[in-house]
Amino acid sequence: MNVAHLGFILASYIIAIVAIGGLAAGIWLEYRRLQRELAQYGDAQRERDSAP
Amino acid sequence: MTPAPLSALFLREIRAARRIGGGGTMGVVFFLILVTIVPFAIGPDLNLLSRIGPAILWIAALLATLLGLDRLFQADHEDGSLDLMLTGDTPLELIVLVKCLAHWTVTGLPLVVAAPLFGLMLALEPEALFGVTISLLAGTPALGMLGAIGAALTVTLRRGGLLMAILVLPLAIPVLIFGVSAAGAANSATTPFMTPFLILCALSLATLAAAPFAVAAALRHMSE
Amino acid sequence: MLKYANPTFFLGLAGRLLPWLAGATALTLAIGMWGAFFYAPADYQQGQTVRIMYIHVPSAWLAMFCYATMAASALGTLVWRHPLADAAQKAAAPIGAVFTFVCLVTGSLWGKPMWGTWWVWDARLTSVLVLFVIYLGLIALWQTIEDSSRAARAAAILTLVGVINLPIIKFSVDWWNTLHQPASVFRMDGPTIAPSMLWPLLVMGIAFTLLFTTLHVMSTRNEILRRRLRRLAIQAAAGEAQARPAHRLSTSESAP
Repeated sequence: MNVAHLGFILASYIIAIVAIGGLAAGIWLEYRRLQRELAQYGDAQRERDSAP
Repeated sequence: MTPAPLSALFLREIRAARRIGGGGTMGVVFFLILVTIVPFAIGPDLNLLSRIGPAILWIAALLATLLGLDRLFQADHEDGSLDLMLTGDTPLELIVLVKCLAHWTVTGLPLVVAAPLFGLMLALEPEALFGVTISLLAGTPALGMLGAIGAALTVTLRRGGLLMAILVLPLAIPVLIFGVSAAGAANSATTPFMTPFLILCALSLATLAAAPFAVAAALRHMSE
Repeated sequence: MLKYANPTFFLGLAGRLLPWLAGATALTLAIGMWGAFFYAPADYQQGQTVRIMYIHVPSAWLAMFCYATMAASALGTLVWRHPLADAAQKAAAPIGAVFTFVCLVTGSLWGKPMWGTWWVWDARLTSVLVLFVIYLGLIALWQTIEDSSRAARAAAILTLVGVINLPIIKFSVDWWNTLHQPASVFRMDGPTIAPSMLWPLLVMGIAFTLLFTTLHVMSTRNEILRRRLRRLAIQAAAGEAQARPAHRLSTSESAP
């Protein structure tokens, strides 16, 4: 198997995974933070009720 | 909806621009400074300068137009006359168009007049001088109208100048491409002059027709 | 339709839908990656480097798809003044910017071994770069205007102006590129793609679209929750401000 330019292939996949994964992680952590802060106002209960 | 309020507005805009820091002169001085610093950056090679001269003049005109535009609606927003324009009988789109035309007369036209003089400093050939001047004459209205959209979107911000440049410059790329192509057509035998020039005129006319609606919508939404 | 688009209904729907969306994304991504790495053959001209295509092309597709989503939400903001459209529009901009960034970087990493240079001022690359700059401008606009509904309307107008302008930019960049044709650039046009390479690419395309949908729904939900949180905080602050003078009044009454 010819693995010429393996570095370029790996680099592009790693950059894509880091960028999109970072975005997804950021969105998820933000969601957790918002849930926690909403819980302080007792509002999170209603959120949980609406979801099964 | 008589033309009288519009002509009165036109004269008011021109007077206001002349009173506040000489409006047009400042733009021309900025234009001159931009043309002056380029040879310091790339060296005083006249052959090179005459080759890229049209591009330098166009970029300088683009920046000078944009930087002069951030106050287009801000002063009216601050002293409340924008509210009068919003509630008045005259359609806001027409008011916007007249304001932009007045602004172009005060700031755009001096740039067009100054361009051949600054072109001489960049060792442009007579054909290139003509090309730059006529393409700037055709293209600066489009730059002004696009800039007006950015000015309207940032009207409530205290320091919207940089944001406005970020928003408007990508939209101005087509104008720049066809403007520089028309201006540089004199230097190269391969490119025709009329094709880019006519497209440039079309861009200017299209923005003159369409941009007032976007600007008016932005002003209505931003000053609510 | 508008009846179902209220934020509370959306939160419920998002909570029920998201596990399925995320599962479908993970599944199609796994199949697509397997196809891209093990099933698809190496290109006879480009060798293994062609495997970059399986993330580059879907990112490019999503860079445009995301702008279309944003433009549709912008219409919702301006025509119906819908808060959900505001949130959807705000959520889409950073996601679109990230996909456009991935498209540019992977394209550059593909170009270096194939063309021998990191960047060519090719028509396609240049248009995507302009799209990236427009995304960044929109994000800057969102961050600068503090009042969120006003920011939504400003961003909506700019997005719609961009919709009219993007074809003109594309056309002018193509024209500009034929004018200054760069010397000896490897052209990669031509629809001659083998079926064994086509289906992993399509699966990756579907996977990326699902991924975008998942992220967009999550981010929109965040935006709605953020607004709800801000409203609650303001209400709580107002409640405290009301309670305090009343409390002082009652103590002064009971003093004598």
